[in-house]
Amino acid sequence: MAVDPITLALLAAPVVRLVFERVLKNRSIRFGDLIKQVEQVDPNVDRRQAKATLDQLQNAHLIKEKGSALEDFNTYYVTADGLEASRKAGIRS
Amino acid sequence: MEDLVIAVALATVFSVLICCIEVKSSSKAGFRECLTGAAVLYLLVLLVGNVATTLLAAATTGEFFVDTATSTSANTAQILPPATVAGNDQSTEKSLPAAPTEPTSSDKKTLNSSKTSKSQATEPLVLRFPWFWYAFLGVFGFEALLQNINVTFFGQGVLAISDWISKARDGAVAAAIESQTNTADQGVQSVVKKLKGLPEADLNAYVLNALGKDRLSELQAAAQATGADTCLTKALALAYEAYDKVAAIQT
Repeated sequence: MAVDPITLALLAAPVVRLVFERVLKNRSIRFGDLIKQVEQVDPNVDRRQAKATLDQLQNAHLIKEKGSALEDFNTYYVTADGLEASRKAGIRS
Repeated sequence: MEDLVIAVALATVFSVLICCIEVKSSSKAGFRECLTGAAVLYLLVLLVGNVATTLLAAATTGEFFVDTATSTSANTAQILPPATVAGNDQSTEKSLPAAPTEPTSSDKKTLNSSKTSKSQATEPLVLRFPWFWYAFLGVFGFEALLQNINVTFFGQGVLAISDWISKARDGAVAAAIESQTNTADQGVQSVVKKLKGLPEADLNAYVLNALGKDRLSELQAAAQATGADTCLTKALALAYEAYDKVAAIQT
């Protein structure tokens, strides 16, 4: 699937970009670890906002989720579309 | 022709190496997890490009190798004494006994091998292995040459090879990441299954040892607040956060 302008516009939002950068850099990351990393960069981002952002990224097919019994242990990993989008949006992995 | 076959085989080996290195380093996955259908597709795309440019390299530089090798041989002939180059020196003929009219097969072999060793000794190293240079130029020239080709038709890009390669590589890397995630998850689930069978007191001890007192309190509180099974919560935490420490626990 080609990366459309809507996806690129989504990645232009600072919080979305930050969360996506963290997933991209780690390739796959658990929610608990992601929250810690995001909070280090931007303390204003809370769990709910981070979860909403991850849902947005999932809906755009940029990441996928591997569910677990506890939310903190849900794993998020980057997809082929996510890799392509990162290149087009100039996000370094 | 033989050089060309070796060059194509070498280009194939180079392609496999490049594919493995790129997918593994980009995905940060284990080698086994990198072996996916998408990786095979990426390898095929790379192979098509690399073999094509290797053949192109052979077609364009082949004459260079032949011409240079010929001139090197000619120079060798000039440097070597006439008696060595041609056997028609009169003085030599007089002093030597009459040679047989037809050389035997062993004589021919000796003559050929001596000619080859002489020419190899005087040939520059570059000229001795043209097949290597065809493959080298083909594979590493591929990035510079084919990846910049973008054929358009009525303003629409129809043959952007760099796009094909990027998409194939992204697919291979993403498949490796997914495979790695699944493998890690399977490992964790098997540990969770094992830990769930332990008494809670034992689990608490393991959590205390591996994750600390604060984390144990956190997990206890989280499980009670959400109504989750406390043993499962602790087992999950141990498996995800201290996999190396608890994977070896025997139940």
